[in-house]
Amino acid sequence: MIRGACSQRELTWRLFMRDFRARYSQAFLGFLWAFILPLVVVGTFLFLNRSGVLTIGDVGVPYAVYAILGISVWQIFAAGLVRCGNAIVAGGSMVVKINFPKDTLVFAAMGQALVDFIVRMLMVGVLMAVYGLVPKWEALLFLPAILPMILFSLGLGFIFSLANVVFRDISHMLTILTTFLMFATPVLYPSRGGLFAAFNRYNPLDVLVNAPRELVVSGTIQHPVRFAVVSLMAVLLFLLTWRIFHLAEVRMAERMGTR
Amino acid sequence: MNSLTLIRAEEVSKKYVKSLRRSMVYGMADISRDLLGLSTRSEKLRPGEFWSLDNVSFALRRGECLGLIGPNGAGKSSLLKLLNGLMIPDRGRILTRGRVGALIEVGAGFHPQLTGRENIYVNASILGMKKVEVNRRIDSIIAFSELGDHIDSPVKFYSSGMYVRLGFAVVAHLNPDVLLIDEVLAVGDAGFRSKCYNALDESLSRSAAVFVSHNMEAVSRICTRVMVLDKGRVLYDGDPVQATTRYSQLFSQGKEQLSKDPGYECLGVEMQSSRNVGYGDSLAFRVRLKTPRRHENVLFLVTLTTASGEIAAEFRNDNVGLRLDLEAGISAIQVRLDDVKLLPRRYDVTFLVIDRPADHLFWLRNMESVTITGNHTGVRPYQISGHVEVSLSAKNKKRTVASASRNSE
Repeated sequence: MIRGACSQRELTWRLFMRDFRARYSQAFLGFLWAFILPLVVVGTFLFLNRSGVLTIGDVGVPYAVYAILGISVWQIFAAGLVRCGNAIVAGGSMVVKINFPKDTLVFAAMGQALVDFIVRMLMVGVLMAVYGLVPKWEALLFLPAILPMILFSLGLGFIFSLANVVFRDISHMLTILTTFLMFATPVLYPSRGGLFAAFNRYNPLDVLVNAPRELVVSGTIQHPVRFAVVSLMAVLLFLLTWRIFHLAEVRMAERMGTR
Repeated sequence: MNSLTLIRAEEVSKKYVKSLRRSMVYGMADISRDLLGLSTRSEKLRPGEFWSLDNVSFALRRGECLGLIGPNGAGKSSLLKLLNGLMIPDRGRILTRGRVGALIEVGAGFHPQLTGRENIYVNASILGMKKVEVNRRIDSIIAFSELGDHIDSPVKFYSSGMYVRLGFAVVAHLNPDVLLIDEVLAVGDAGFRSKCYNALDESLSRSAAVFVSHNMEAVSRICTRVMVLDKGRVLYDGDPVQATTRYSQLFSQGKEQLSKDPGYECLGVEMQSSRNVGYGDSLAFRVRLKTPRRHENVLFLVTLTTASGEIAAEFRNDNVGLRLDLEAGISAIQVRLDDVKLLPRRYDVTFLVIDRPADHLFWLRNMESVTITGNHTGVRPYQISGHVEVSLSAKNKKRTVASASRNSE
């Protein structure tokens, strides 16, 4: 299966480039769109914080850096999951007419989410320079630290992309689910006890978002053990669902009908 | 597997279900069974299921082409999908070796925003071609598609013909060992179509092919062997001419007699020649009609229609300068059709008696069916006879003579 994925590298890359070019060939603002979403969300929270409707408290670094970093990592999950979940259905007629490894569609969809992520990281870099923040060398660990997030999103993405074929409700559900989870997870504000903290004790997304961010901001991880456990779970989840996807992809094309 | 055998289907069967809800439920059940490693190959049909393919077996070697014909819903496309690996059989097994190239839908996977050139790379990649292969063949692909400058504009600006040409051009360069073709040749203009046939002929010699079509001419032109499917079962498997005849029998419409009013009655149509005649032979019929009154100078027509309902040939008494009058009471019309140069296949015979002006006395539809035998082939039922030869120009003759004399020395 893994060797198969290596031999499909080229196809995955082609599919990724296809969507990538298509996405930006007609958009006037092009890459700017990747900046707009985090700017709007973070702007809203800055506004709410300043006007006292919401008190976020001290996060150790300028709030804009904190929030944009958080939302960038978060969007790997949110956008990645939505894109992966729709990957097979969006493949349309070629999924039912051509026999090719369908997991390439899911990988290529995740690639799109990662493009946005890279673009947003540039924005974070600029912001940090503006605030005069110099990250410690541990910040470099940030890159491997987002891997569990990617694998976790792919893992769920495999399952949802399959389920979406059978139940089209999934794609609507995913959008709502990710929006809800964004507020339920400490992405834009830190966790401060109560029900919120109790929920996030069992929410793997909490440490998946916060561990990479802490690495950039402070150079340390607050809950290294939890991060390690969750990362291991993410790897296992990814491998398991990838296997399931392989077994089920033929059945799926069967049920998609001919058109 | 024989060293030359590229496709082998052994007692392949596939279930299908009409209801969407059931399809979803069974789909989930099958997936769960697959995941748990349980067998999904049950002989039993679940409620609402039926066999869309039932016990189909064949083996093809390199250079052979199997035609699949049959009415809509016979299971042809399902079989093609099974061969392509898009579905797995519920019973039996399918073995293929080498690269499988499927022309099931050309241009599937094209992205409208991308240019033709970019789409060639994407499409070729999906079909299993490596980038180096595409690089080597890109010029040939573009030349084949005849798109010229359009190759660098987004395919959403293409006409449907251009779209298909591009799609076919990619597949024509795939060089598969197993080639699966589904009705794609019915597109494009005549020039491109013949180009496709040529490309196909070439790849056919290098592959084992399965060709699904409703076009009997194409089937008999391309295939070495034809299988007739109906409701998932194999009705016939073998000789292409026999198969197309068997196919047309599926569609032969019943006899139908219409007359002006109950006073007009057809007492019978008799065959006075053999029902199976050779190419260019005669056909003879006797039609007995009862008419309540005298009809002068009626128009008598005989038409021969093919299985697809196309009128292949027509006979009119006025065209051969013969006047017919029907007396009150019973008349017997003897008709002989001479020199029937129609392609060998089955034809249905319809008789019409019309009293001018435009007053249909009898319409006797598909009263008889005749089969023309022989080994003429072609696209149109009617074949013009004639003469053709090649004559050498004087210059050429001299050279031939010179070379001949040199040889004899």
